[in-house]
Parts: sequence; C-alpha cells; structure tokens
Amino acid sequence: MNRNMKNRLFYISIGLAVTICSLILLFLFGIIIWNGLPAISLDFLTNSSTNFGADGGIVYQIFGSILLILFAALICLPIALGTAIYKSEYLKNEILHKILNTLIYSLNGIPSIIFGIFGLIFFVNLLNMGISWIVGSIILSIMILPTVTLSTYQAINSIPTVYRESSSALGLNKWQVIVQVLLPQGFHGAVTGLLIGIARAIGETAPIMFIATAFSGVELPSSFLEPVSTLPTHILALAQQATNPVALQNAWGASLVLVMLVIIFSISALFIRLRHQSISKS
Amino acid sequence: MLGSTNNIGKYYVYGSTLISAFIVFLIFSILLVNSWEAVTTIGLDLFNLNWNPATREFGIWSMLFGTLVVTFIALLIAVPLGVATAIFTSEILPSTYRIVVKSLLELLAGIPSIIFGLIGIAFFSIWIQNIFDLQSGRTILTAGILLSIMILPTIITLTDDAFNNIPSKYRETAKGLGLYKYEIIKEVLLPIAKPDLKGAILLAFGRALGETMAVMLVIGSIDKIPDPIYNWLSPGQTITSKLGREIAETSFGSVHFSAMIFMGLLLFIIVLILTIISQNSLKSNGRLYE
Amino acid sequence: MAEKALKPMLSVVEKTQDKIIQIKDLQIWINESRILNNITLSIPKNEITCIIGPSGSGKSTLIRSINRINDEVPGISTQGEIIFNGLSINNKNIDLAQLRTQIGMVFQKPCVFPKSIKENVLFGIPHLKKISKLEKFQIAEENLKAVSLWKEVAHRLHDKAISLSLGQQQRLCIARTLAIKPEVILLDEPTSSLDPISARAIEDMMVRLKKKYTIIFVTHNLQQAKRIADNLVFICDGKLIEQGPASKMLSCPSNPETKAYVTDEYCEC
Repeated sequence: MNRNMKNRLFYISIGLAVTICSLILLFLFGIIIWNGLPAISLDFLTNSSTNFGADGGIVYQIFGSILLILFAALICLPIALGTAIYKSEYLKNEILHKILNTLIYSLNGIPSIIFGIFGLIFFVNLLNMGISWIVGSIILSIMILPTVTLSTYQAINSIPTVYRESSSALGLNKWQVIVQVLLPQGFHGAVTGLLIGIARAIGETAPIMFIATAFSGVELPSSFLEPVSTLPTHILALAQQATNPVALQNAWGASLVLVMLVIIFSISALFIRLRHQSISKS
Repeated sequence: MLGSTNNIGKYYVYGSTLISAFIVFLIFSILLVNSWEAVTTIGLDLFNLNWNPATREFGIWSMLFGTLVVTFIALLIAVPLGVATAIFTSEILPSTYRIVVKSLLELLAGIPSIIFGLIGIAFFSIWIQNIFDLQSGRTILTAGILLSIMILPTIITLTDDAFNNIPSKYRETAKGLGLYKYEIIKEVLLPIAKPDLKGAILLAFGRALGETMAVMLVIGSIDKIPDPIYNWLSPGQTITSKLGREIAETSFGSVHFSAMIFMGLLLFIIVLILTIISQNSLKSNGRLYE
Repeated sequence: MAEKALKPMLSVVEKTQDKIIQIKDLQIWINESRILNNITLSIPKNEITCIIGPSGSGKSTLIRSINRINDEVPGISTQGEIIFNGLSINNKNIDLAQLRTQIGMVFQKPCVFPKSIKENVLFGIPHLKKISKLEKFQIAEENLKAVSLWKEVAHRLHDKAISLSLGQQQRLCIARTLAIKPEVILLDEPTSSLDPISARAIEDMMVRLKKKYTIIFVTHNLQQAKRIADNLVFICDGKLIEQGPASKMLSCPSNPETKAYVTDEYCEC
C-alpha cells in the first residue's frame, strides 16, 4: 500500500468520524426542539402541574429551579471571592498553592451523586434539616464553588502589578487596594464564573433529587426548610412514566425550557467574557 | 480604623479559603465514617456477587463490574471518534470556523444529563430493543453508547486544545521534509500531544464513572453480572445508578445504608485519583469551564 | 534563414536546461493585500541564489511558494506559474509530499522534533523506503558529516536533539533535509537566529554543498549575500527590482534602487 493511499484512507476515516459527530449533534438538538416545541404554550409555562405532573404546566418547577440556583449563587459568591483573593493576593507559598489547587480541582471532579449523598447524610440527617430546598442550594453552591473561584482568581490575578504598586504608593493598605482597585476590575470574572456554574447547576438532578425536591404536589415554599419541585427532577419523574404519551410530551417541553435556560446563562457568560476582552484590549 | 478593616478583610479571605479547602475533607470523612459500619460488619464480603438486603448480603461486585464495563464501552466509542474529530477541527478545518465548532461543543456539553436520560429512554433503548430483538432495550450497551455521547465534547475540546497548542513550526518542518498529512499527525503531532491526550482521556474516564442520571434511566437496574460476562445486551447496574435508585429508600444508619455509602466512597476515591492524575498531565488551568 | 531561426531557439533550450526553476508572473495575495507582484525569475542549477531585500518585502513568501508550503496560509491566493524541471508545480493534482522531497526546506528557526539526534536526521526517510539498521547509521553519518556535525555528536547520537545548541540544531535541520536527497534546498533566513560563528559555519557549508544541490537562500544580511551568492535576486515591496550574477549586481547594478540598496542597505520603493 503506498503512502498516498494511506493518506486518503486517513482522510476518509476522519471524514467519517466528523460526519458521525455532526449527525449526533444534529440529532440531539433536533429532537429536543422537535419534541419540545409542540409542548410549549403559555398555559404550559404559567400553570401548575396536575395528575403527578402528567398534565398541566411547569410554573412551579421553573420557580423551584430558579430559587435553587439563585441561593446557590448567593451562598457561593462570598466564599469564592474570599478564596480567589487569598489565592491571588495573600498566598505566596508554592507548595500551599499547589495543595489548594489540587483541592479545588478535586472538588470540581467529585461526581454529582456524591454531593447528593453528602447532603443527605450531613445536612438532611446529621444537621436534621430535612428535605428542604435550602440544602439543595447549599449543595449546588459547593458544586459551583471551584468554577467561580478559579474564574475570579484568573480575573484578579491578571491585573498588572502596576495597579497594586501605584495604589499602595498612594497610601492605601492592602485591603483597600483589594476593595477599591482589584475587586472592581476583577469582578467580571466572578460574574462569568457564576453564570457558567449556574448553567451547569440548573440542569443537575443527582445532587438534589433526594435532598431538596419532591416529585409532586409542591407549590411555593413558605420557609427555608420545605422541598420544592425543579425542572430536572420533574423530567426524571415524567421520564419514568415513559409509556404515558402526555407525560412524555410534558417531559420534552420541560427539557426544552431547561435547555433554553442553560443556553441563556452560557451565552450571558460568553457575552461578559467577550466584552471584557475587548475592553481590556482597547 | 484603617488597620481593623485590613484585619477583618484578612480574616474573611482566610476563613473562606479554609471553608473551600475543607469541604473535600469533610465530604471524604462523612463518607468514611458512614461506610465504617459496613466495612466492620460485612468486611470482605462486600466484594461478593450477591446484593440482597433481605438476607443481609451486600456484595458490590456486580455494581463495580457494571460501572467499569459501561465506562469501557463509552471510552471505546468516544475516544477514537473524539480524537479523529479533534484532528479535523484543529488540523483540517480553517481556523475561522473553529469558534463555531467550539460553541457547538459547549452547547452539547451543556445539555443536562437528565435530558440525555430522556433521549436514551425515548430513542436509544427502543432502537437497541428493535435491532437486537430484545425484551427490553435497557441494557449495559445502551448505557455505554449514551455515555459515550456525553463524554464526547470533553474529549474533543481537550484534544483540540492539545493539538492547537503545538507550534506550527513542527507541521511546516515535517511538511518541508515531504511528509503526508497523516504522517505528520501520526509521527510528529500525536507524540507531542500525548501527555495532554492522556489527561483528556483520564478526565473523560472520571466523568463517565461518576455520571448518574442518564445511566440510571437506561441501564435496566438489575444487580447482576451478565451471563456470560461479555453479554452486554443484558441489563446491569452501576454504582451511580444503584445509589440513585436505592439510597432514598434506605433507612439512615442501617448496614444497608452503610454499604451504599461504601460504594460511594469507592467511587469518590477512584474519581479523585483520576482527577489528580489528569490535572497533572493537562497542566493548563482554567479547564473547569466544560 | 533556417539557421537564424534555429539559433535563438537553441539558446532558449540551453537556458531552460541549466535553469532548474523558473517563475513566471507570480502574484500572491493574502486577503486584500498584495504580497508579491508579477515576479518573473529563473534559478540556475548548482549555484547559490540569494534573495535579498528589506524585511517585509516578500522574500519569505516567495521562497515558501516554491515548495508550496504557503498553501495553507489562511486567505492566500496565488496566480502565475512556477516551473520545476520543466513541470509546473501549480498543478492541482501534483503530489505535494513528493514535490517537497525534491525541493527541501530549512526554516528560520531551527525546529528539531522531540526525538533523538539520530531519529531527527532520519526523520524524512522511512517514508520513502525501508532501510536496515546499518543503512540508517550510514545515512546519519554521511549527512551529519556533510554539515560538519559528526565530530560533535558522533558519541551521543541517542541524546535528545533539543540538548544541542541552536547552531548545532540548525545544522541538524540541514542534515535532515539533505538526507531526503532533494535537488533544491530552500533556506529561509537560516542564520538569523544564530550566533555569528554558527552562521559562518553554515555559509561555508552552503559553498561546499552547491556542487550537489541547487541552493536558494533568503537573507536580509547583505554581507552574507556578498560572501556566498553566485546570483542575486533583489526584491522590494513585493516587486522584483533586479536579478543577475552576484558580481555584476554588486559592482554595477543597472537599477538605481539596487545600487542604493547594495551600497547603503537603503531602499525607497
């Protein structure tokens, strides 16, 4: 077999792989949109679900999902900011830096179901908080902590030393330099990280399904310690009644809404990142 | 006054770093403490074949087997497909289109796993059922195929980055010596990108091991090793699907619960080791965005 | 009558025989900007042709189009014709890998592969033919000797090539190109990132190598061109200003711009 033939064969196999991947992509988005669109209507988005979710809309599920990620973001932000500032401005020791990095990456790598079990043991049982949405928010905030921390760290750490030196020379102490100079310039990193984290957290099912949610009969919670219903757990409940066509259609509708939410958060993150790149360039 | 805000600020950042750093330890110790009862009362019988809470048999071997086989199938499909596609996006596709491909991949990576589960139930398991004429399409193979699609974006993105980080002088020099494209890729680029590729595959491996929702919905959830063991068209169980299905129905504090947590601990340790190794071989930071 | 007609024809044939490469009306655009403008020139066989000109004049683009390594530059478009050994290389169906084994190239910055010294010398060969271990050693020795590197590395052929100095790396790159036995060697400012002594070593080597190879050498260092060139091609702002034997171009160039450049290294085009 000559070299030219081998080269052709190589191109053919690459082409085949690319075709398969494109078809997969097309198929996935195709069926999510194709099956989801007919299910979506104003009624679907504004009504509560009935008949164990098989009928009715998903308004409380949307609300529950938003509530969970909103509080997850609120809990995560201060800790992530503090950690990022420490990592960038206080930590000088190489070895400690490596250890902290390893811990952050490890936290990021932990499978989501493990977070669920941890929440179940620690918050629901040991701290006796019961199945409640705030536990879900806490667990999701832990899950997105690495993303937000590293994104903030990169934004703060990339601010040139000149800024630190010239503001110190004006008589600002370290904390004032951080609050008045570094944070305003690095805050976009935290926002980007939060949006990326939220885009991931809103679709998570495994960590919250046995600590924060109930599958049916849930409306607006009146305290921190009540379960809510969310989009992903709703889809899970409906998927398990796959033989019922109405339930399945509602599952597709909820899926499309969920994917749209994910895309909205991802695109806003991308937008902020791009805008900041163009600002720092000009 | 000035000094005190400085100190409060310092305590705040120290405090938040301590919290961030100790969460991993907290999770680990919670898992360890809660699996202790299973380890002491069941001991090595944990690695038996049978899982039957009624007879107090807690053998996790079939879950472990299911986890490994499903992940193996996923990597078997996704690695060649992903690496070949990454070669296309980094070496053949004009760089102007790269941003489009990257965005599409990010979209694909953003699809929540529960939706993959739904797609798996509604399509993949039906296809497998019809193609192989089975009673049920919820099999180990179905889970493996679904999982391969889910880890595909990770492999493509990381491999594409690995190839893109290779300076173009290597390509030009090899071209100048009269090598064909496949020879350049095989003999110059692949060896250089090898550590990064290893990191990418390990990371995908870790992700696949820990994936729960999609696998749980399509694997069939039977705690058995298929007979014969290469019959992947039979239902099975993974650690994650077992935990997802059963933990909520287990009473807290029982041996049964403890045995479940032991599986979680095992998964935790394996994935942690994989994450640390892959981070060391990937070297680049900021890889959390997938 | 017949004789008269024959004579110019014969001289044309003669000319094409000792001109290994001919470039006709070459124009190269990258996106909207024209990099090369109607270049027509010919390269004589077994001589050193130096392409000189200020930086940014298009020298590199010109030399890189001779083995079509430019092809994959984004937004590039080429017009005109380059003829090598009587065949046009701009043909779409031409086997580029084949072409590049006949027209070898050495780049500005030495680029060794992350392999041993010996593997680097032999890098291009296994694709061309199967060779035995003994042959491999002989080829490595022969080509490393040709670039005067043999004495320095003979005892450590299995060391990583990256452990060599930059000057040694560049000579290794030349040895690697020689090993695939090209007819023409293109060198794109091969000494610009090297120290003067290594640069001198490479210049001396070029003079030795021209018996066996046709050498095209891009440089922005006029002194270097004066030392080694048999022919000069002067390019400025994408235009060919003048070409001819080095002795003539350096002593009495016909073009005032060439004169300004070779005396003052100054160019106003």
